[in-house]
Amino acid sequence: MPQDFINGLPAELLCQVFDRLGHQQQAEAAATCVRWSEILNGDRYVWRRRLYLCPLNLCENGIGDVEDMRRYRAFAIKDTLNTPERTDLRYFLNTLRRFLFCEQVRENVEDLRLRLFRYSLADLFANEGGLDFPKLRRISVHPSLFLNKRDLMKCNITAPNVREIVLDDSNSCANPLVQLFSEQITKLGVTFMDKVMFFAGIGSKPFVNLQCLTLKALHGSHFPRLFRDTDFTPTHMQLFRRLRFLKIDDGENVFFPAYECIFRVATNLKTLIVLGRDMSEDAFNAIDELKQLEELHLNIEIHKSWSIRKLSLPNLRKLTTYVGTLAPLESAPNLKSLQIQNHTQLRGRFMFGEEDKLAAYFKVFNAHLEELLLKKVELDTTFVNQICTLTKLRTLEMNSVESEQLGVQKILAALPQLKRVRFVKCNLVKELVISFNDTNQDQEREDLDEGFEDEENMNFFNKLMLQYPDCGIANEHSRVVRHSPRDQVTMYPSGYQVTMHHFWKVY
Amino acid sequence: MSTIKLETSDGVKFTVKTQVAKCSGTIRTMLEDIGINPQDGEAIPLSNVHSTILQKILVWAEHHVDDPEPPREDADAAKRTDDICSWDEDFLKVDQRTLFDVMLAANYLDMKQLIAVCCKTVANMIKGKTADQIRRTFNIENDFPPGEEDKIRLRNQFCEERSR
Repeated sequence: MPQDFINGLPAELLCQVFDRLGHQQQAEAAATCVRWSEILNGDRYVWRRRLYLCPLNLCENGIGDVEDMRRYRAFAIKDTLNTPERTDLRYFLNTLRRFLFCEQVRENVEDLRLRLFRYSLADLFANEGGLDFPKLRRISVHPSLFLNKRDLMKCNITAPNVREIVLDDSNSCANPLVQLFSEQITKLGVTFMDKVMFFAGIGSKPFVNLQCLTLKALHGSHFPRLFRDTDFTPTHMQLFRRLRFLKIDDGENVFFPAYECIFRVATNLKTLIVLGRDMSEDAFNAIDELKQLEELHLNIEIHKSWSIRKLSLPNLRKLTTYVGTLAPLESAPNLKSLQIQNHTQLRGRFMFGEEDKLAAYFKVFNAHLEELLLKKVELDTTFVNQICTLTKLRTLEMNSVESEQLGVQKILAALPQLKRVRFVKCNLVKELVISFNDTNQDQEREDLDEGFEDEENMNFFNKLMLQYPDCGIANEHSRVVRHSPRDQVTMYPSGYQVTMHHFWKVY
Repeated sequence: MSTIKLETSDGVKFTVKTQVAKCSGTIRTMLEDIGINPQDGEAIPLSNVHSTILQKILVWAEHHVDDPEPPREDADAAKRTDDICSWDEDFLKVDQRTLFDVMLAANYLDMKQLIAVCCKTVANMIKGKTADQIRRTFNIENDFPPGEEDKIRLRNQFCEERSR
């Protein structure tokens, strides 16, 4: 019988192993043996999890061990999960209230996520004696259809440590919760379908302590109403001025007319993240005034013309920019991390045009950039040459990038100081030149296939690792593809250039 | 180049460069705080480490002696297991007895980087496996009373990771 060596480890070392597993894998490991299940059901792990409370595990004849469930500190309450009948629901509510209000839960709960479809907040929280949740820090609400405006007036709850409220799919009904905690929260997230819902959701409170705001415009409205400068009251403007962190996730483009007025006032921002479709040049130029910015993430098409400003941001450390319209830079002396990405599913080619323009762009940061992340882009030789000038680069990550093998080899040869190189789902092209006029074409291709089989090509990454052992090279699902011949360009007599689909063949 | 002597549990003495030995937090503390003088020629006793394992650990320390201090990682980065450098990967291609002995010794010697890389290796051995496959990989005995295993799975069905 071979020996069980792993259980010779003390619990603290096993914990260090388990810490590196995801939740699902931890759950599987817990079913391995009694010792592991005890470790993984210890407070260290229980406190990192969120427990779903639903009629299945918290009800008469529920399958949950209620004593054990009380040890958790984060709960999600979901009243529609597998609920067969309405009668059960009443019963669930009572059990739920008893559970939440018992001393052990009430005094320790830190995080509540409410996804109530059949109950209102008052159903859950109304209590004559008043209720205190001393450690509650974060509440997120997906509001109930049955919620009404005066609902929370009936809820006599206090939670002095609530700092964050997240309204999923805001409608006016979630408003009471925001009203109740508006003075104490530092973080607010609002997801909304329409700007009317948005303003109803946040109301007109000043939010004097708010620092982080996340706005997400949902798809779904047939005629999405755009935000206008005039929609915002002076109170809102004060709110934007205080913010340190602002994220706008705007697939509907409803913020397009309002970006500029928001950026003009939000001068204390340290982080600005905009995911969306279009941004006007004036709005972009306003970003240049946000001198406190440390992180800027613009995954959005910028309408560039001759009057676009180049950003001079002395504190900027991290920039994420969309490959279609790279955010122009004048100076960024502290830029350490640059991410260039494409926001469509399609892979985009770099369209910088001339090498000297790109070189000028890289000159802004090539002496101090430490991290370069590329996502869904295609590297051409011009770009490869510029990467080779990043003498301080330590981390290079390519995700869904297409490049020639030679380009990758060139970068690694030029940057011996790299410490972490990652290829994720990249297609690296092995250049093959095959003459199409050759009658033995197929035969020749097969010969080549033979020659290059596995060892030559599948091991490309292994070879790189051997050649550059100190660069920390790793590969996830990247592959070497053949591509022959390179973009067939057919010249028509009229001068039109037509690029044929190039085809990839996996080795 | 100053050297010091280390003596393992089975009485084997190693002469090691001081700089290499200082990869171990335990030895570093002995030298710096407690003030054991390496010039005395007295060997530092490592009563929990066998000579075969110490030999292996010294190979690792020799290779990593010039590594810069690792940056303080945030929680996400610390969870990665795919960033083991290929040298370490080869180094840890050993039987399980050796792997876990190295881990225990690294723990005793307080070598955080070596512990981390061992933990990542073990985590990778667990990832993607069912409980039964994990048991077979590590020869772990299934010591649950009947039905208990299902209960544990059931309990975890109602949980998810808390986002920070």
